[in-house]
Parts: sequence; C-alpha cells; structure tokens
Amino acid sequence: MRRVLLPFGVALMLLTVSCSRISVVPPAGFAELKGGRSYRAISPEGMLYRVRSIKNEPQKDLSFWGDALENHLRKEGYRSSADAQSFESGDREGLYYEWILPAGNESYLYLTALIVTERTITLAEAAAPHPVFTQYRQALLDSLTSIRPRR
Amino acid sequence: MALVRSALLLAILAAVFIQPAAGQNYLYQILEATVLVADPDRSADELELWAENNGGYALLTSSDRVVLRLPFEQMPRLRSKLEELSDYVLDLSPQSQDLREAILETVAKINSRQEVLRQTLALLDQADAKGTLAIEKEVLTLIEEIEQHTATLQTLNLNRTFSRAEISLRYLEQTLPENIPSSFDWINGVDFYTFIRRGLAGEER
Repeated sequence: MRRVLLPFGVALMLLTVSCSRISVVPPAGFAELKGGRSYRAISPEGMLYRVRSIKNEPQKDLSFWGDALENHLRKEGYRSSADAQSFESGDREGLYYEWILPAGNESYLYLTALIVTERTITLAEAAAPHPVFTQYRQALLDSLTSIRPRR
Repeated sequence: MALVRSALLLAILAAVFIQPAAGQNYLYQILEATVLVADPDRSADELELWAENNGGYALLTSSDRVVLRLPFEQMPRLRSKLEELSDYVLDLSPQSQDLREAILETVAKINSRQEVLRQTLALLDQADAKGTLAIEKEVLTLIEEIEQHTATLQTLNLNRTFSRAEISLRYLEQTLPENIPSSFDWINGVDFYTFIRRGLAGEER
C-alpha cells in the first residue's frame, strides 16, 4: 500500500511546490536568493527586489487593489514620483508606483508593483538609494514584465 | 537687366537679414523645472554660481525658487546640472518662441519713425512759430516712440541671447511616513522601512 501511494505523494508534493512558486526572470545584474516563500534577488549594491503572492480576498481587480495600495501609502505620507504606470506581464496588465522616501541622509526610491489574477495578488517591491535605483530601473521594469503569477 | 540684378540683390540681402547667421539664435528658450533637493538653500547657491561660471546670471534666488538667465548654448547643460544637483527632477517643461517676426516688426517700426522724424525735422526751418511748436510736439512723440521700440528691440535681443530658466526647489521632507493601519491585511505588510531594514534576510521560510 505504501509503495503504491509513494509516487502519488511525490507527484502531489511537486505539484504544490510548482504552484507556490512565482516565475520571475531576475533583473540584469541581480543575484537570485534561493528558498523562502517569495522570489528574492539582490544587486551588488544591495538593491532589494522581492516578489510575493497574496490571496486575492476579497476578490477584486487590479484597479481596486491599485487604488487601495496607493491611497494607503499616500495616507501614510509616501510621496510618489509619478502617477501609476502600467506594464504587461504575459497576458496580464500590471501597475507600478515609484515612491520617494528619505532614509538616513539619502533619498530612496521604492517601487511597488501589482499584478492581479482571480486568485492572487502578486506584489513586487524594490528599493535602493536614488542613484542605484535609476541605474537598475530598466532592468527592474524588464523583470516585472517577466513575472508569471499563480492563477 | 540692371533692375533685375538690383531686385535679386535685394532679395539676397533680405534673406540674409531674416535667416539667422551661423551661431546666432532667434529662439527665446524658457525652461521651467521643479526639482526635489535635500538642501534648497545650498542648491540655490550652487545653481547661481554655476550660472555665473557659465556666462549667465541669477535674476532671483530664494529658498524655493531660482530664476536664471543663461547663454542659449548652455541650456542643454542646465538639464544635466539639474539631474546632478537634485534627488529627483519632478517636472521639466521646455518652451521656445521664435523672435524673428517680433524683431523684424520692431525694426520696421523704428525705421519708419526715424524716417518720419527726419522728414519732420526738415520742415522745421520753414515753419513759423505756431508750426514750430506743432513740429516740436510731433518730434517729442516720435522720439518717445523710437525709444520705446528701441527698448523692446533690446529686450528681444537679450531674450535671444540669454535663455530663461525658472527652477522651483522642493525640499525632500525628512519626516518619516506614519504607520497607519489599513483595513486590508496584506497592505499593512507593504512598508518601505521594514523592507529595507530587514532586507531579504528576514524572509519567512
């Protein structure tokens, strides 16, 4: 009985792992970090990049969650450098925001990006001091378009 | 034949007058910019110094605004300077206005008044006392108009030589955003400071 169930168990485990992973192409020049529930990568300068999934509950669309996130961060005092920008991620549309924030004696740029499917909200974040961020901005935007969230 | 030659010569001269010569500029360039800086006073001083070192000058310098006049050749360099100086260029709006028509119109107005003035002055010798007073009045009006148009021409020439840059300096607030709870749980987890403080090390496994 045990021998019979083992292959099914392994198959089920592999299926669960593949479903929990988000497919992301790392930004050029970034090193990927293995393990963890979210996708993580880091640049040689220490610029952080993280992509994670959250359950889409209550089930709403990109516009709703984009507004909810933007309103909340603005209420907290975040200052955006521009209006929300859209991007294509496969057949999905995403939205990203860039926020300017002080930390220590430097100005940081903090990117928050959202892709919404029926079941999940995929959130990407990246932050670095202004000169480092601008150096990697294009690579980061390219990586956003490579995100394939769980359906 | 001589008439045709003269006409051609006139046409060439007119074309030479209307077209800007090499190195000349007939565009009045205005750049409005809003930049985010950590120290507005220091940035204002630095912009003023930079303008002076590049052949320009500051019309106004305050903690939140700098108005510069710069040789038109330096305008492309100003953009680079603003990017270098500021933490973020929030807005950059270049405008330009072709001054050739206005210059030609003003020159024509001056020339016509000078011609009328010359003719009016020629009448002075033949005029009686009453006529002399009327001519004097006319001459004063013409001189005043010529002075006004000459001033306009000088302003136009200044504008084509020196571009204008109006730079608003915004202070990057050093106060940290407040932590206000959201009604949506996952949004409470979106926080820049937690993100950079914990880095990627504090990731759940």
